[in-house]
Amino acid sequence: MCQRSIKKERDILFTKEDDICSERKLTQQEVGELRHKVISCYKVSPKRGSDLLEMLQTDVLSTGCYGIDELLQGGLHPGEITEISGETATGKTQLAFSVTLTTICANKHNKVLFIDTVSTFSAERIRTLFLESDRFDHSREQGMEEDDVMNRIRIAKCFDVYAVMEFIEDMRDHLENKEKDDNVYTNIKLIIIDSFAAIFSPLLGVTQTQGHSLMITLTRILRNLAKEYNIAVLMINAAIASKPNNPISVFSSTKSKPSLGMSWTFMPDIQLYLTHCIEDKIVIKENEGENNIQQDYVYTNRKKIEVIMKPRICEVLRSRNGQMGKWCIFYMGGNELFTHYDIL
Amino acid sequence: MRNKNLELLNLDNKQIVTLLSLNMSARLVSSLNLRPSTRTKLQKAGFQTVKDLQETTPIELSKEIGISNNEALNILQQIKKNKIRSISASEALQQERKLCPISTSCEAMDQMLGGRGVPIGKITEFCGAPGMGKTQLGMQLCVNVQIPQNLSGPEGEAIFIDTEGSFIAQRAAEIARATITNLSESSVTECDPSMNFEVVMSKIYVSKVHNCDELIALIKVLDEFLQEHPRVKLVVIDSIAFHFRQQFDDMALRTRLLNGLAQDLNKFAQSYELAVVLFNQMTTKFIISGRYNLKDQAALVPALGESWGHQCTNRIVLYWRNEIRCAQLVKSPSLQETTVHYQINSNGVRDYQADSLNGKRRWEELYDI
Repeated sequence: MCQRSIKKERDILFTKEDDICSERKLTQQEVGELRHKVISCYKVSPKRGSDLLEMLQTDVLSTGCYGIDELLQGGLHPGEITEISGETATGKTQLAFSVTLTTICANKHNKVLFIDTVSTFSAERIRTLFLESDRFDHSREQGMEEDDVMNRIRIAKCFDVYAVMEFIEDMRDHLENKEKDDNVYTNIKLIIIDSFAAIFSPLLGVTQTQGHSLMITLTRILRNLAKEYNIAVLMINAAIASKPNNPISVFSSTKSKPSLGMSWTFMPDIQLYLTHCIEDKIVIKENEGENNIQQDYVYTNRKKIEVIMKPRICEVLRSRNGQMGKWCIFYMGGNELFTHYDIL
Repeated sequence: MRNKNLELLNLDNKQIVTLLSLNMSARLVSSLNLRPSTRTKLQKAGFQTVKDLQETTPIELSKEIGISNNEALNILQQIKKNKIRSISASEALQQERKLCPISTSCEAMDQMLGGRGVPIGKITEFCGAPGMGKTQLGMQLCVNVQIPQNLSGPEGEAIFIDTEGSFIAQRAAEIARATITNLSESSVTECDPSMNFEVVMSKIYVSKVHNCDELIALIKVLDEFLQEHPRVKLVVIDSIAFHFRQQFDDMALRTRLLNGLAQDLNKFAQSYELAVVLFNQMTTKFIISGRYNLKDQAALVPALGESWGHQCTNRIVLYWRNEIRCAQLVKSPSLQETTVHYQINSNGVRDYQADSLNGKRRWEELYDI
């Protein structure tokens, strides 16, 4: 019956009614019925705004750092894609580790999936953070076991786009057919991809549309998954040079921007950007009356060991639900990561 | 979703909806590793998800969408490939602990790198100006990777990819001799017969590459070599920057090539459990402040630009400070930023000793300048 041009039901929607009639020798009425059936399969019924608001009242995942949570409107929102990008060695991976552990410690059932594309994941580091960081003192006192914490973090090592896609599709398969699975993926609250840029940068170029389409496909898959299972997605992106400066940044001295180009900027719901806290930035902001910025900060932890903390700047470049251009300074060093608010 | 027959639509709505929702959740054809033209052909024929493909045979598929049998087979094989498994962090921890890092022969540097040396399964990049001892360090690592397991070494082999023509066999031999002597002195047992000088040299595979095409080709076939030589635990590239700093007009292409290279190296590092050590050159970067009250500055930064900096897991910058060689860990996901001293003498890379004269000073004293 459908040997020639009409193979999919969408062809029925997209071809002219007369053409179908003549080609298939059907009456107008029959085609109308067919079309109606197809439309009723595809249609999306509207939802009330109030219902949507209720759906939003789900748990927001804290990053473990009050100042950064503030920028993110409370933390990572389930169903949304959050991007953290930044220059090398500004603490992107450390922030990801911090979110991982905070999510795990928030609840006895939460699980986190870490998709590692550049071998940054270090289980030893996660263990040290959990056992020694002051932040998780409370959870340790409440009797969270190291083994339990480590078992609830899943790691997938994927080194190219296709591997990532394959893995995510496989995971969705597991989530859907719960009975066949040993529950490794149930209760996943957070998916981290570190780094998203590394898997796409070999594919992206001005003349290469394939890389862009893959990027958008992967984001779409992730977004669907996130919405369906209430998972927050955190993507770590790299930075590239931006000459002479980055116009979106609130700091005129920022000379870099998130990588992956323009088409990527439409993908995440919120984009955080981390930069080093260099001196001339501080001078500028001091002139504007901000003088609470310090250079290296010495922090004495609960074991009475002094740790030198280095300042970093975190700013919001784009946001769908918050204010753009907000920024904060956070300190990083040893096993700690905090902002001014955390100390106060 | 794909309908073989339009008759399917004569099913009642509910059945169609269930069919649709079943297929909506399956993997999209567009997520497979296919040529764009093949992908378009598949989509035009109505194959949207992997589930649609599962029922076909290669011959059917090749006839239906007009591709060769081989291509069709390739598509179907991709679907049936082994799945990537995720592991829990505790399993990862056990795996990490099993790996034996490669000592640098400089205890301070080993400490900086996490206690026992250059980590396996990761890319470590050393950046430094000329004369910092990058090649020396590379040769030292090639020797040290062969330290037998009973002396808590990885007991592996090494590949040295030489782009600058800097690998000098005599010097490597010198380092190897000194290292073997050192080991036999420190160990209680007799010197391991497997760790003799000829054997050590025979287990260093040196490939000289003369331009970046050769380098990229070499990395592409490294897979085969690693399968033939499963004991290889170290791949050194000295230096990654050399060929990429010249003859490149299209910087975007360069970035893409470099990132692809890093992706391959990362894959090797993980799947063959080996350490990748890259050496990078330094370049001068002008920082134009654009403000009247701030001076323009020039800084020495690692070459190859900002985007390359994200590719390696650990990055160490080597530099001179007060006539002492310093190594600073500037990037690491698991370790604290630190600076240590080291020295290079006739035996190779060693710990810095305050009383021993460093290279520069010894030269001056020797010739009474």
